[in-house]
Amino acid sequence: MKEELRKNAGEETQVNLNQVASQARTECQFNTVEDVIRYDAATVVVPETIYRRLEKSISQEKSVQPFWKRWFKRL
Amino acid sequence: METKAETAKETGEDVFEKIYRQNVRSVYYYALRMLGDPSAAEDATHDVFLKAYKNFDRFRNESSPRTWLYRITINHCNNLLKSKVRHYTIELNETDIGQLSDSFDSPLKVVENKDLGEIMQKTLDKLPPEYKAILLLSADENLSYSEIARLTSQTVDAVRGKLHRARKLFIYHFKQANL
Repeated sequence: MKEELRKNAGEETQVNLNQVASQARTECQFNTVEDVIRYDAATVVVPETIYRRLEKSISQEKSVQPFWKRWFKRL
Repeated sequence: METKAETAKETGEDVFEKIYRQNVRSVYYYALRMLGDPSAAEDATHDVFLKAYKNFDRFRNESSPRTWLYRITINHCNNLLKSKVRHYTIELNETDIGQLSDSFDSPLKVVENKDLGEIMQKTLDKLPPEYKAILLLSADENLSYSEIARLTSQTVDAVRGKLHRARKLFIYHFKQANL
C-alpha cells in the first residue's frame, strides 16, 4: 500500500513546485503533469452554494421518509 | 439531556458533514474538469453527495470515503457525458504519441496572470475522456494505482500504460494552449 501510494517516486520526475517572482510578473514552474493539475485543483473555488443546496435537499429527503423509518432511526 | 439516539443521530450527521468538507474539493474539481462547466459541476457535486447521503449505510463496507465518492462521481459524470455526443479527433497517431515526451523538458512555466483554469480545460478537452479521467485521478495523491484501476475497471498495467500516453498528450496540448 505504501509502495503504491509512492507511485511518483522512482518512476516520475520529483514533484516540486517552484514559484519564481519577477518584477513584472509572477510565474509558476511545474515539473510534472500532476503538478499542474494539483496546482489548478488547489486554486479552484468550490461554490458554497453546493452545501446550502445539499442541506436543503437532505432536509427534504428526511421529510419524505416513512414514519417507521424515522422512528426506528431514533431507537 | 441528550438521549442515546439523539447523540448517535448527531454523530452520524457530523460524520457525513466531515466527509463532505474533506472531499468536496476533489469531487467538484473532477466534475468541473470532466464536464467543462462550473454550473454542471456544481449540480453534479450536489447530486453525488445527496446520493452518498442516501446510501450512507453502504459506505461502511468501502475502503475509504474518497474512493467511494469518486466511484459515485465517475459514474455520474460518465452518464452525463454519454448524453453528449462528442467526437474526439486525436491529432497525433500512435507513432507520433510515442515520440512525445512524458515529462516537461524543462520546468513548464505558466505566467500567473494568465487564466490557468482556461488553459487546463482547453488542454484536457483535447484528450479522450478516459485519458482525462485517469490523469485527474492520478493527480490525487490519496489514490494508489490499484485504486485507480478499480475505479476505472481495468488492470494496474493498463492504467500505467494509458497514464503514460495521457501525460504525453497533455504536455503536447498544454504547450500549444499556453503559447
